[in-house]
Amino acid sequence: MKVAFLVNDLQLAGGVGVVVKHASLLRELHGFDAELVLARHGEHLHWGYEELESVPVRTLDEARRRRYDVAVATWWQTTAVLFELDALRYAYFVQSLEDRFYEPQHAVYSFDARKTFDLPVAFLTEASWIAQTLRALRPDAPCFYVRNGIDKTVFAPLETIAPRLEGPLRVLVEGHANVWFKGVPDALAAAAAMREPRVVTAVTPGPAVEGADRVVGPLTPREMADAYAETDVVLKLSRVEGMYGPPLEGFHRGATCVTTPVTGHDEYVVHGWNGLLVDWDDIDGTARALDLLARDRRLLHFLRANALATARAWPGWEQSSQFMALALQSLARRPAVAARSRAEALQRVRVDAYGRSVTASAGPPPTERKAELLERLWANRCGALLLRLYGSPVIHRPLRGLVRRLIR
Amino acid sequence: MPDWEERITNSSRPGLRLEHVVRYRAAAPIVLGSDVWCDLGCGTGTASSVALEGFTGRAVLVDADAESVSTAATTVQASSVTELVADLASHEGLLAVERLVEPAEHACFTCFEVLEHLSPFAPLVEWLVRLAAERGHTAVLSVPNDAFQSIENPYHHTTWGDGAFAELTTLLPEDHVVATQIVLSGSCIAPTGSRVTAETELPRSQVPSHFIVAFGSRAGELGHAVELTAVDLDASRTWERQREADLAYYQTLAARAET
Repeated sequence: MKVAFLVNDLQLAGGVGVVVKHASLLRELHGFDAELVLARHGEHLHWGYEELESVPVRTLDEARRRRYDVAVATWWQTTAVLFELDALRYAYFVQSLEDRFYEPQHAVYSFDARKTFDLPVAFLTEASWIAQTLRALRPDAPCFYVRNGIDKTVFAPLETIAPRLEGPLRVLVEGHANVWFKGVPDALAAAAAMREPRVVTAVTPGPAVEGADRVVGPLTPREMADAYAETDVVLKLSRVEGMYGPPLEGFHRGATCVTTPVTGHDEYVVHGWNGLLVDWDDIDGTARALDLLARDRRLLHFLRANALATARAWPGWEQSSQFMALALQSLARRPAVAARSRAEALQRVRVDAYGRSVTASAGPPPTERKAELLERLWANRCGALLLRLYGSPVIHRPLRGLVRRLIR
Repeated sequence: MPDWEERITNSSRPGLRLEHVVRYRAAAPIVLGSDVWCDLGCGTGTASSVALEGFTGRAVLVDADAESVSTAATTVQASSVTELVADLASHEGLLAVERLVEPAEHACFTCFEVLEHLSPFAPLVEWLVRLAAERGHTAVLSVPNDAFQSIENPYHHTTWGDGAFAELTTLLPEDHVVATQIVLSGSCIAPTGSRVTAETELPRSQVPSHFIVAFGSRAGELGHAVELTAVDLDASRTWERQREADLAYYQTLAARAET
């Protein structure tokens, strides 16, 4: 089976890593002819993945001249060129509801990302909360649930954990500090508000952060595994996550977690069993939860031991890859997309949020230009109000025309 | 010490035997109404022969272990029995099964506690789904809830639990039927020699020990089953002591062989 996975780039990032892993294992274990297609023109290649040695990487122009059984978009912007590929069937691997990634002043990205869920595609997703949402939004579309595996050679589950009876609580905060929904500043503030002794490590590739005893990063997966092995608690106060990998990786290396009840946590975090859930925007409450773990070493060990047990039961990549192969085979059994449907879908992705045409050769919609316009509108009080109303599903339609006219 | 008893025989613990019997009992309405029943991973037929008494069709018994298939062929009731030793992880093995089952229509496949033993399991799932769609066959599968107890079974290639089962069901036809198997425990007091029957209401929601799913034309006929038996303490003690003694004996033999 010939499968094209569309990616924006090949930079080291969790979502891209998952796609690369699937493409590689589909080739290696299931005999698929899986390829990666760069959706952006002129994108520099970053060969940060060992698996890329065995997976062909095509430019969009090269891919347009090929024929695929299934073409898979993997990030909302890649849907813009999905239907330019000649494929019998189209799918969309949704790793998070990406419209949630943007703050209100960048609402244009949210609008465009949300629109992509309306495309005539089958969905593949890695988290049950996303599957439930997609099934509610699109009961007409097939939706396959394929959890991400964990690389058990890198994040090898510890054999046993020795109780830590003394010493400062070792807290690890992970994530881009300048990505708003990762909640890194909040996490560091909570750790700083602890009363008990602690050592805080921030793993962040972004700008310098305050509140950590040690700042490292970016780290390779193996370095990350070593960092988790020296950690008691992974502290994550994220506001949006997909399958929520980092605490699970920490579980494999003997850490428990303190986390917000962020999307994806319910895949494996159970409050009081293998981690602690804390409330939103509750810096003090989070600090007290950490203090509790610093003081009550019996509880800490209970959570860490159960976290490790949770990790042991989580599938590796080989198992995950089998479900991905089955999902693609199941999709391949369904009727092929008619040429007319494809043409209509292509037309839809070529019309942006304001009804303007976007030429296919230009690649993804010019969201940067739209963002600039929207930011100007956002700066105006009335404009901001209109944008908020525009985002409301109740009055979305009547206002759409007015907003379009204002922008023009 | 964990007890990895993957091959069920008449010597297996009563509770373990019942666990297997109950699965076949749940599938019985589908199996007994089929002209052809194919048991994938049939083992020694210990459980199916108890649960599917009265089957009058043709049975196709498949397992990777030749001795088990031969034993099963002598215990399973059917108008005719076909034995097959096959690797269900391979396309060749699946094609061999298909050749034996066809040209039947609306055959029933039981496939209990097999997926976790296969590497890969994907071809078997793909094959069963295809047969259900193209030939109108019905399949009843089960997987263990290993993930809940974080059991690392050395004989299992993949880990199953509610997450993996949810992944599996997204691949099946939409009209599939899901059931869960739960563990029962109990005790009884009765005047010596008297006959006792018990009735108790079971909770609607409980962490399952196994997940069951049926799909295909007759999936809706998946039944329910409860089996209780008194624990034979005498046999149980014999079984445990025999096991301990055997273990010590073979460890000593192994140590001697090493020196």
